[in-house]
Amino acid sequence: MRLKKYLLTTLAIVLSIIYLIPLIWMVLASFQSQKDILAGKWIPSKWSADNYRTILQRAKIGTWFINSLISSSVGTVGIIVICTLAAYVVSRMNFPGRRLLYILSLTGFMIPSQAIAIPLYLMIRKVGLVNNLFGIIIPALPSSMAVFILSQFMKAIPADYEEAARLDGAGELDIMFKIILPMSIPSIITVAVLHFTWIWNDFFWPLIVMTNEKMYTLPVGLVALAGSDVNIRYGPIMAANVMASLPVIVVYLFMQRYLTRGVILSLR
Amino acid sequence: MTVYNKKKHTLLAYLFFLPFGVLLIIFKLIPFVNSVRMVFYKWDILGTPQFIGFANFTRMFSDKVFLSSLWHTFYFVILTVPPIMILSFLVAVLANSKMHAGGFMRSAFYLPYTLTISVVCLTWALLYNPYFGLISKATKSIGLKTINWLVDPTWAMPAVAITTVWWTMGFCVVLYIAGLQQIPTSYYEAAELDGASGFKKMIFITIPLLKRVHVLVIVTQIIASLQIFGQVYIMTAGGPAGKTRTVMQYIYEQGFRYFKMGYAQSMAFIMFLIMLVFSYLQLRLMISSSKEELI
Repeated sequence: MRLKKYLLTTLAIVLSIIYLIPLIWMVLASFQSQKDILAGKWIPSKWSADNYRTILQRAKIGTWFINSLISSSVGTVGIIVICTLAAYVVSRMNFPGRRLLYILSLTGFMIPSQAIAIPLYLMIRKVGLVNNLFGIIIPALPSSMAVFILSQFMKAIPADYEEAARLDGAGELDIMFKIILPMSIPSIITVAVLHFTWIWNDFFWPLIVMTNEKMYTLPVGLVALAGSDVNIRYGPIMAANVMASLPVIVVYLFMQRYLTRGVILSLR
Repeated sequence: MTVYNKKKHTLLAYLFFLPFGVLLIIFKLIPFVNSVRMVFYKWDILGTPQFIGFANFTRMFSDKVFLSSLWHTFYFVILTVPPIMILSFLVAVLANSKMHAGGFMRSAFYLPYTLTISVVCLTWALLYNPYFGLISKATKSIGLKTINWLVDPTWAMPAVAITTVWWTMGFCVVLYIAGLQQIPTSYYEAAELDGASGFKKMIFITIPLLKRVHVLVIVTQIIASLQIFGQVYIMTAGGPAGKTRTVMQYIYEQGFRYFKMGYAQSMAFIMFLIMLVFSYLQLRLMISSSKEELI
């Protein structure tokens, strides 16, 4: 039994490392010279940060990073505010038309963003939001997924809390802000992490909406960079990849517990 | 509640819902209505839209490029969904078994999923390089023929699919682990008393009890794979010889390179109809699984 456990542990570690080889290689290659990469080397013959220097000097990677950061964080905060309110309404309030609003809030599930990309682009263009971060942020705000996860969670909070508070003379707003919302924080974090990474990693929409190099987000910028500047070769591209991945990996490592729990939770 | 309070309550509810509701209508429902209208028009972004009835559709179904891109999209679904399902199930079973590295394994397999599509595709494009990429080094060292993955018409789509499986399967691993943790251990204990082997337990307990997770993985992955765009755009741009051009790639080319908005939207509409079946299934699954346990 013991031996079996050790064998399984070894197998798990070996498989995990094999799985991560592309990532490990990406990091190693970012410290290699062009010559090393073309020779198919693994370990750099001389470790150097030149690739990082090159990319920081030549590319607008800092600007793209800030564009991504602003659109992802402003978008996420907006989603949390708007969708938490809506989720509270459909899960905890009792009024005529509630079922209708619940169904309305889920219609976003049936309309994939690709299906409406063209009319949405024409609309964004008309109101002058092309090459504007709000062109990315605003359409992301009404998220059916966010309302779904949040309302699922809020529904599960027992009504006893609410009734007890009402007996103590608490008003609607007290119940919402002092009882239900603080209790919903795990689901709010889940929604925040999911939506932050979705906006951060989105490719199709920013590719369409951002035509000015200065307004690119990180994913779009990286691809444009790899395709355009012949002087920026593999090493610097890998350095850019490492820089682009670090923030998300850090967020993931910190939020890992919530995220895995959140994925599970969103299914229950 | 008094009548006055009830009124106030209702008013408050609508007030709270208002920001979400308005944004949903402006940025989801109105574009959707427009998207349906657009399919009847011929429109290159600059001129005025010209009503042409169903001509976009008749053109689409005699457009060889569209039909081939439709096939490539399905081909990509076939190449990605079964491996994602089988591999993530096996990884989840291992990561969930009684041993030490379970958490490490789950993190390792989830990590690629957090990466940006450009990072994944640019890194893999280099790994696939036939001259100095790691994959050709590896195949050479075990005596296999070197494949020029992204340039060979036969291998380009499988190469994009392999990258996608690597990138996204971590999410499904988490889903399977969630499902596995909900199977009561008493089932296995009972089976052990009856002398069932590990293999039999897998076939008769684990796999059937995870039915809901299997369905969820299949449906969400089909939806994701039908929408494939970024990987193709970055790694092959639809080439070689159009062999990796998917519907989304063709929509992008027609709509945003040649600005044939009506025609591009008609293709998007066909995709919408195909995906509708799966989106509906997904929604049903999510709502019903929210009422019961996952399995």
